[in-house]
Amino acid sequence: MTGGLNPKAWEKMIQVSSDMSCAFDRGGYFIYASDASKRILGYSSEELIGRHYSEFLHPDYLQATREALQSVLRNTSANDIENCYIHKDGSVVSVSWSALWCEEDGTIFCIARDVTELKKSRLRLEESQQLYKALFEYNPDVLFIQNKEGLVQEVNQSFCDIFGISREEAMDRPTTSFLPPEMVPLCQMYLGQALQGHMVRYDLELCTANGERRLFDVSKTPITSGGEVAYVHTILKDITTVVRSYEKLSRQAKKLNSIFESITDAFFTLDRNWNYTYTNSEFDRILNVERRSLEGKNIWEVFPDGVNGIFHQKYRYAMVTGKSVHFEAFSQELQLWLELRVYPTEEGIAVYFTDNTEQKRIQQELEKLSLVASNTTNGVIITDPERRIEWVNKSFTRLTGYSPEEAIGKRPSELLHVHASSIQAFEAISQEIVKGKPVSFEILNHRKNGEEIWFSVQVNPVYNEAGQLVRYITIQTDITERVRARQELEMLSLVASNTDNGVVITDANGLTEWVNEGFVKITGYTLPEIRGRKPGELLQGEGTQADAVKKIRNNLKQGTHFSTTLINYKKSGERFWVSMDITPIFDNDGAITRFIAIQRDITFRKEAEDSLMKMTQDLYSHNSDLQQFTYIVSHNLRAPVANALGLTRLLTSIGKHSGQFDQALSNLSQSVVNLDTVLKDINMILSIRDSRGNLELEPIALKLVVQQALSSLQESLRQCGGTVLNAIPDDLTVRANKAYLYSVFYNLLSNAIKYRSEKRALVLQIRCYGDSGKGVLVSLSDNGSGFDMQKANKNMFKLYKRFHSDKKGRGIGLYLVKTHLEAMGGHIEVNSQVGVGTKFLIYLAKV
Amino acid sequence: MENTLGSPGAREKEEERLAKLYGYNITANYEKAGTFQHVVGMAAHIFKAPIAFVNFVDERSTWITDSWGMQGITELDRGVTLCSHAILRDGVTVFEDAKEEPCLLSNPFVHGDFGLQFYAGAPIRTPEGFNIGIVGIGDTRPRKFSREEEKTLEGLAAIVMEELEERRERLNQDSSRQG
Repeated sequence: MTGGLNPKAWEKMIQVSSDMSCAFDRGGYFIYASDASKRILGYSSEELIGRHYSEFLHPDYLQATREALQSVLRNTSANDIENCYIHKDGSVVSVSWSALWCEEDGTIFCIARDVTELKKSRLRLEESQQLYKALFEYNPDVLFIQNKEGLVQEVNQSFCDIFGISREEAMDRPTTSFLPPEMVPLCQMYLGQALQGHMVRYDLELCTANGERRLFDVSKTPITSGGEVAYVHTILKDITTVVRSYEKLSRQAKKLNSIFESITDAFFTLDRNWNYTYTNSEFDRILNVERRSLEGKNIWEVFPDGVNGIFHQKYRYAMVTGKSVHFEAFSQELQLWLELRVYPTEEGIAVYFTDNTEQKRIQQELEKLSLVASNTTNGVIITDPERRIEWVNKSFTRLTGYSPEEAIGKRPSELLHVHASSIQAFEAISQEIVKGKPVSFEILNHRKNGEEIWFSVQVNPVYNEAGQLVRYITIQTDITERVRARQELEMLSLVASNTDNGVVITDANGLTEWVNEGFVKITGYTLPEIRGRKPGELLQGEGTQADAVKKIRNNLKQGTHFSTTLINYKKSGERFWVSMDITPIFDNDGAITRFIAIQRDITFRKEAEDSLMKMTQDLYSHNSDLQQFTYIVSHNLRAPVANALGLTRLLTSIGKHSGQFDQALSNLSQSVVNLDTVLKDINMILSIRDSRGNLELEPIALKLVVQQALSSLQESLRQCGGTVLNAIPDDLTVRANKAYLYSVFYNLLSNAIKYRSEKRALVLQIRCYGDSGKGVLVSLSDNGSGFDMQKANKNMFKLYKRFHSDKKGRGIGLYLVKTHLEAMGGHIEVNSQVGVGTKFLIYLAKV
Repeated sequence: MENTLGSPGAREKEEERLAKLYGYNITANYEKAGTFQHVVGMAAHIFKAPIAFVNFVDERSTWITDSWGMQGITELDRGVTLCSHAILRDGVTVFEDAKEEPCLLSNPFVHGDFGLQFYAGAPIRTPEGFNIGIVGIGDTRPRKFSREEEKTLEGLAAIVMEELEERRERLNQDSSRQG
């Protein structure tokens, strides 16, 4: 303390020191503490001064510190006293002390150093050394270190155990001395490489101290020091177990592989990422891909369309639930039906599948067939070779009334053939069936309720592969309706064939399909002659009524039932009257399929009708004649008779010789003459009427007859100054009765004279027109007074009709003209105009 | 049947024909039916025809003065009548089955409701040789018509012509007497 430094300088030294300088009194109370106290103990010197050290000391160190303090007091100084204080913040601080007792001051001077970090480092080093030793020493792997000469410098316990030598024996010896001789060159080579700075690794098989052969994985690591390899560190890892289990595993894998390859199912595995991890050869074959080419690929990349499809769903189910799945599905990609079994595995799933497209097809076919067999409207019966029923379908029950329970075990014939007749009918057929040939037949069966039912039956034998008859399949078709219809048709056709009426069946177009015997009898046309033709083409002719044909045509078009009568012609050309009934036949849709025409020859009836009509007409005309006679009698006869009666009465009342008598007698005579005239008229009319139809006609020169009539009227003509222009050719002849013809012209000419016009001289013109082989027209015109055609109406040719009140006349002339002409087949027409004249037009037939 | 109405010569001839027709003063009095009733009645009777008629063909129409079986019809458009064809010929025009005639395919008389199938018409021929009208018969069904029958029909036409001539002569005499 007597050096060059003053106390002030010492204070500075103390202030900058990281160590805490402090002073205690004899009892151990702080009397000084440097500023470092704040850092080391957390307390400032002010807080410490006056306080006892033990207040801050760690309790564990109280005893030791007290002893150390005593020792300082005795020996005046002490170094490296270590204890622990509690920092103001509560942490433990290790402190190393140096103390000096100064008797004269009664003060202990101390320097305290914080050694907490130092102590911690010391402790860590110790631990790490222990750890390293444990790691090296107790490592189960064999560890040793060689120097660059190859001499062993350090070994661990495992080394000693494996090689069966002690640590001491191994030290400073080359490894070659305890390695099997065959391994030495290899080890030397690797050691050389390691010494050149390479890390090497190799396998080494050794026989250990306890006689086991073990395999080691050897790694040699060069340890460099100062840029040079100083040591080589070697680890021998016993991999015997690992290698053995690997070998075992690969053997098992190989075995499994061959199992998977040998199974006929396709097999593949998927990991949880949907990647193929394995596919067997059948899989590759079905998918038609290179062997194992899909392994490692994602199934949904291979089959993108399969996402969310049935396969996806099922695989996913197996993967998620860990349950196996068995299903069938159709693969669109492969166009195959697959049957799949999916098993969850650790990695994902394993899938076995088979292509059962063919089975599926057969199954579907069978399903379809069985559907057909079950649901067809035909009855289906399957029997064993003994004809005992094994199976029947629903339609069998519907058709026969027998349930499957009632039917199975029985023979079909026992159920269905209850009547002797059907049993007999079946006997012959069953012979054929027993022979094992397919048989078809129609048979009358009986339902359970006794109703008759007609079946069309087909029996087909079924043979197995060995050619043995194993069952019969019988198919029944209900043909009751058909048979009834046929029977009805047979009956109808019997009627149609044998009736006397003609029956014609035509198609919808009216072309003949069939005719019966009656038709042939009536018309003379046979079926081959008329088939395919319209009946009308052959039967209708000139006399056939157009309106009747029209009616037929319209009715056929409308498709309504109708009747008509018309004239037809037989093949011989003979005309006949036919009554026809035509009925259209419709199909279920209402379309006409045929027409049926029934024809009756009604000529006889028609003729009877005609003769009746003629008779009626005759009677009518007789009746009208009679009416005319009545008229004549009542008027023309009545007048002269009444006159005569009056006169005779007068004659009886007056004297014979009176002038009145003669007059009366003369009048009476006149009346009788009149009476006679009327009677003559009647006689003449009757004679013409009676001669009608059997009048003899002969060729007559017309001009001559006209001249004869004119000559009879010559006197009258001369008196009235009339002229006649007779333009009839000399050679014109007509077929007529001469007397009648004369009467016609006489009457017409005398009328012309009688009704001539007072205003002009009578001119008569007689002309001929249209002279032909058929007939001739004769006109006879005058320029007389004429008459009003409107007033005359149709009466001018009627008996006792008169149109000129100022002229004498009986009204019989024109009646006679018309009657005579008509009796000869002629005709007369008249035209007249008042004040102009009259024209008669006469037609006379020539043939 | 050739239609000669179109050529210039035919046009003049037609005008002359019409002049002749009007000269007989028929069309003005056509409504006085009955003038040729006897001819029509005779035709119907002789040929047993359901239809018989006397008519005259002017520029546009066919005037039916008298008919049998066509009651109420007095005037027809010239275009539709078969008579307008018939006057173009000097002989008798006969359609035994008019439905089969190609030149009548569009004729409403033949193919319409009337259903005329047989037609025979003789021209009413003036002394100068103009056909002014027709005396004809008809039927609703086809029939044969012989040359002999044609002559008879022509005879009826001649009667009509003669009566027209007589009437004209008489009217001329009357007017000259009055004049």
